[in-house]
Amino acid sequence: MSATRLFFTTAELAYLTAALAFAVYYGSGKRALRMVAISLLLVAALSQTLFVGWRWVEGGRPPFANSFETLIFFSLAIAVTCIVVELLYSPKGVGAGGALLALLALAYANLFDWGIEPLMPALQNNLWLTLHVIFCFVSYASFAVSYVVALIFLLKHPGTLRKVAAFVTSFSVVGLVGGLVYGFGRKMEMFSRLGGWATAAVIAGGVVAAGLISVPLVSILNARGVTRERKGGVLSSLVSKTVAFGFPFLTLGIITGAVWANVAWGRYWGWDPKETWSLITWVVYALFLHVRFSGGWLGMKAKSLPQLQAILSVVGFLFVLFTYFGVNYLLSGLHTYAG
Amino acid sequence: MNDRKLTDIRNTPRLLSARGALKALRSVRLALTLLVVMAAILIVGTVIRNQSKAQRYIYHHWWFISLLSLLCLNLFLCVASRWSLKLRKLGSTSTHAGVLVLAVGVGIGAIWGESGYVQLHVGRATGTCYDDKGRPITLPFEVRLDDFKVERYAASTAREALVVHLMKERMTRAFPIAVGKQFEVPGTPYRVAILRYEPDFVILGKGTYGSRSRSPNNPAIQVRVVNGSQNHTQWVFQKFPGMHQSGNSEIRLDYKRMELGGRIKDYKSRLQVIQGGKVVASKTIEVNKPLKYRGYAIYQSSYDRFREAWSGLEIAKDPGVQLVYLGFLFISGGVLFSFYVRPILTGKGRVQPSRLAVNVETKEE
Repeated sequence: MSATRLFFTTAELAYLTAALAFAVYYGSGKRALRMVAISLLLVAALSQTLFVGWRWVEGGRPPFANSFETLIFFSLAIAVTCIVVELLYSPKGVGAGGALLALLALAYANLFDWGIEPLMPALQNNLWLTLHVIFCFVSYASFAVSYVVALIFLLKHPGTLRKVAAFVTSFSVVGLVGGLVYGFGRKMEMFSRLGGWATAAVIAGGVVAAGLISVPLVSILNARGVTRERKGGVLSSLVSKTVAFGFPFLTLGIITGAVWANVAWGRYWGWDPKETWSLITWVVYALFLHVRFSGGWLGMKAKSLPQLQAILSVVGFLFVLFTYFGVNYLLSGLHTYAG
Repeated sequence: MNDRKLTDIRNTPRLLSARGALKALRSVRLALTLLVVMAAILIVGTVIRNQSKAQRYIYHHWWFISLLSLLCLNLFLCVASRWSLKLRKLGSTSTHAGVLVLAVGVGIGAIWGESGYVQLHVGRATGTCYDDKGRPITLPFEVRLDDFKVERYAASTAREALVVHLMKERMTRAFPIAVGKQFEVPGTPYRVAILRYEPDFVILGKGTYGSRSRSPNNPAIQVRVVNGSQNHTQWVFQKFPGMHQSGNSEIRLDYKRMELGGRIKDYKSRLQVIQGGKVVASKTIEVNKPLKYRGYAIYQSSYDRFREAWSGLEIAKDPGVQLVYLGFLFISGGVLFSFYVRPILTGKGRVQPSRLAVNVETKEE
């Protein structure tokens, strides 16, 4: 087994066991398990750091040039954010959710070729490549954690919001796990052998299976008291904190991208779909940060603002996912090499 | 009668509504509404498949620019009515002022800036480039292309390849079709050897194979895969990729027609800028390394992919770019100060249950 494969597998196993340890801790309340889970997250983060470092040395360039490499860094950034949030605020549910998201990012990375490809001319600027990608993905990771916190926050609210949050949670699990199943099916060339109806059946089966996973997941979250956090306001405040942490990084990510575009192509903004979607995402989070100044807007009561912010955090992360993946596959543009 | 008229004018709804309009113009509510509208328009813009149409009918159209201008006016009034250099508001003031500076820079660039494209053959010079609508832009100098070259990562010219997919390693590697040669798959214990090539594969008898003709009607190669002491041999068909794959699920072989080793490393143009018959600047430019001369910058933009006969140059002059960068600086400094420095200085770094949230929680419990 090569060194990079060893680091990668270690990280995968560590995330899986960390998520399990967190889940058992939420059920039993044994605090030692929480420390075990955090230690496992640390092991995963360390393994991935070694992976990134090793690849950097091996390739002789920053390992941030394609989907495989950015997914690895995204997963690492989620893990680090999760560790910090766990150590500072210890909100229930966030550790497990973050570990599963980091694991999912690694699983998606498996869909791509591991080979270290040389950089195309436009990407041959180590300084801007490193800054741009690191800033963007640190912000994405922060928004990912905010998304998990926001969903947990919304799940604890009675009535319509809880139902909407349960639906969004199921939708996320179905979308992310279903997408993974579909990706592996395509990679293994399953669909070309199966034919039209069988392919549709496999995809539908994957979606139903992911749906079946998500229903008990939401129930467990409800039943185990994860969604009945007693520390009033910590979750809603944490939604704001994680967005506030990520927003400057997203801003710097967009700005470094603009400066780099000016250096490479002679224009800092060209309304390329990736650029435009990053601006849309920035606008959503700017709205998030401004809604608190708009008391009474749309007849909304002040006490509803944390819910509105949580909803914006969830929507914002869906926009992040579209900016990251959707644009690469659904819209064409100058960032197609990122696919 | 006149007095009555004056009183009427003072109290007309028009005056009141003008004051109301100013209040509305500097409201955060308007800012949020405009941001939502702008986000919706941008989403529509990215969905349009033809991006040049999106530019023409949305991003560069007067109504979208008017919307952006209204947003800037709103932002200006917001900043003007609330600005403060107090620690509490320093970051916010800097960020919002930065957006305005950026907008001014963009405006200056849009009005007085120039941007055009030109294709030059080696040895030729030009004093004209063309904007995105094909209109000529006369430059105050001539650009001459002295030399142009494309650098590649590898020099192989093979067009057919044996493609090896290693499932476990998640790796794909391609090798030229060279009969009798053995290749190592780097970083793995695998080796592949191409034993035979048949252009028009046919089974002649039990265990004997050959070609029906010399034409490549059914090209096939016989490949031996070696993994330590284990090895197996199989036929791989160009037109039937799934046929006769070995039972080994860790490796898959494909015989493909493809470009090998043609990946572009860089493309470089040696340029001279000529003014008044004299060479006033020269540089070998490449992507990420433009030539700059008197406010103009010449970028390596594209090249002739088929014959490598010409080099595509983007020539731009943007007098607003310094302001744009200044805006970036204000925005970056502002957000960093607001979200990282201020909470430390004011001791608000820790999570404090907000009053709003506490109300919600208390009610719930």
